[in-house]
This record gives sequence, structure tokens and C-alpha cells, in this order.
Amino acid sequence: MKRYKQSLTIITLLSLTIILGCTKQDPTYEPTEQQATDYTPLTNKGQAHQSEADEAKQLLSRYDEVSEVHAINNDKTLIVAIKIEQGDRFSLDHLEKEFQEKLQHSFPHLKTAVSTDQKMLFELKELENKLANDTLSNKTLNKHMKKIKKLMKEET
Amino acid sequence: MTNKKKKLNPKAQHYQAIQKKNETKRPIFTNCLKAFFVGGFVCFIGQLISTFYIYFFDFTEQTAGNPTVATLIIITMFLTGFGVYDHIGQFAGAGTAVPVTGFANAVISSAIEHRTEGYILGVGTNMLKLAGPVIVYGVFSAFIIALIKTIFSQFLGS
Repeated sequence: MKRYKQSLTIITLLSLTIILGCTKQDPTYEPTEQQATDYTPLTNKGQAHQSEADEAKQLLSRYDEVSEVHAINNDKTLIVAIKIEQGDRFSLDHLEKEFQEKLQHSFPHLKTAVSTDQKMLFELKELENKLANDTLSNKTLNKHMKKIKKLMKEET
Repeated sequence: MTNKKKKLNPKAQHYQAIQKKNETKRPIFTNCLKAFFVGGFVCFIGQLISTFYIYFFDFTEQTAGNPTVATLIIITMFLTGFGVYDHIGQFAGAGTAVPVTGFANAVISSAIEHRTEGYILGVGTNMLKLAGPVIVYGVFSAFIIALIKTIFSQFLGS
């Protein structure tokens, strides 16, 4: 009987934890004043057409939740990859959606795509390095961006 | 339990008391600790494999799960075949049983054990005998949790 009560208590506590963990929190995130995250600016490296990407990086780097940010743009699309701080990863989807909306609002003439995926971080970091070293033509950049957009749409 | 004990004669009750006193206690805390660290190590290897697929191939965090699980199962297959996984399992208990490697071990070890009985009635019939309950209770508990979540999210209006 004692055992039964014990297991019942454990099950109840576990279920409560799961249920409370699953309830939707709807916080709003605000940027902090100090610049929290470093990013690679590309406009000062002779890539004037990357000004939107630089602006987006500056905008997102002011959020405490963002620990790494990479972005690339062409004349139609802006792709941003962000790394979220470990503790804030519980609200990953919410953050992704919010940042997407913020960027779309800031750059209405561009199609924006925000991803928190590690793959996009790797890919965009590589592209940024190539752009900074000026070893990437516009045609190749567009090709890479098309590939990244396709990867973003992939699901299991 | 208590009703059963009442029915026993005093001699048997005395015997049970002695047995309870001398019984080797299960080292629950040590077992949990071992399971935690070995299980965590299995997950660490899984994470390494996953990052490897993301970095070197065209897999995203979403899609890298499939090849990662396949790789872990292949590694377990070899470890089970060479008899290494048994030793790890004996040491770590639930730490090696709960991750997907434990499931793979359950399937593969029963396939090896029953291969002398033929491929259909031996391997085919017995392969999923141990893994069956895992699927049944996995699906069942997932259903219950989903039900609880749905009910509560309806209540909380999210």
C-alpha cells in the first residue's frame, strides 16, 4: 500500500512537471542597450551590397538571448542564422517567430528567413568568411543562398 | 501484501523477517549514478555523430536525427555481436537500456540467440519479442501524455 502511494505521488509530480513545462508562455523580448554579441560586419570589407545583412546582425546582436548571429542578403532575400543561449532554447520556436516578424518589419522589401539551426549557422559563417575575403561571386552567392533556403524547408 | 502476511504462520513470518534483514540491499543510488553517466555518454556520442552529419553533409538539425540513429544502431549491432555490449549493459543497467542502443541490443541479441531455430520460426518470431513491449508501452505512454497535454492546453487556452 505504501509503495503504491509512493509511486502514485511520483507519477503525479512527474505529470505536473510535464504539464507545467508544456504550458505556453508568451514573453516579449526586448533588446538591451549594450552590445551583447559580436558579429562580422561585411560592408566595411568592400561588400556594400551586404548592408541589410549587417543591419539585421546589429539589430539581433542587441538581444541577450542571441549568442551568435550570421546573415547574408541578396537583392531579394535576407537569410539570418542565430544561435540562442542555452537557457532560452526552451522557447526556440517563439523566438524564431518573433525575430522573423521583427526583421520582416524592418526590411519590408526583402523576403526574410530566420533559422536557429546549426547547419545554417555553419553555412552562413562560411559564406560570410568568403565574402569578407572577397572570394565569392554574385552568381555563386545566389546559388548558395538558394541551397540554404532549400535546406531550411527540409523536414524529417 | 498485508493480508498475505497475516495468513502466514509465525515460523514463516520469522523466516521472512530474517530474510529481509540479511538480504543484500540494492544499491539504487549507485545504479542511478552509473545509468546517468553511461546514458549521458551514449547521448554525447549521439550528439557528436549528429554534429558530424550536420557539418560534413547536407543535413540540418531536423534531418540529422535519422542517420544518427542508424549509425548508433549499426555501432550497437557490432558491439552486441562481439559481446561487448553485454558487459556495458551489466555495468550501466538502464543507462544502456533506455537510449536507442538498448532497443537495438534487445532486437539483435534475440536474433543471434534464436538463429539455431531457423530463420522464420527462430529469428523472425523471436527478434521482436523483447522489443515488442518497448513499442507497445512507448506508444501507450506517448498517447497518455499527449492526451493529458491536449486536455490541459485546452484548459489553459494556449
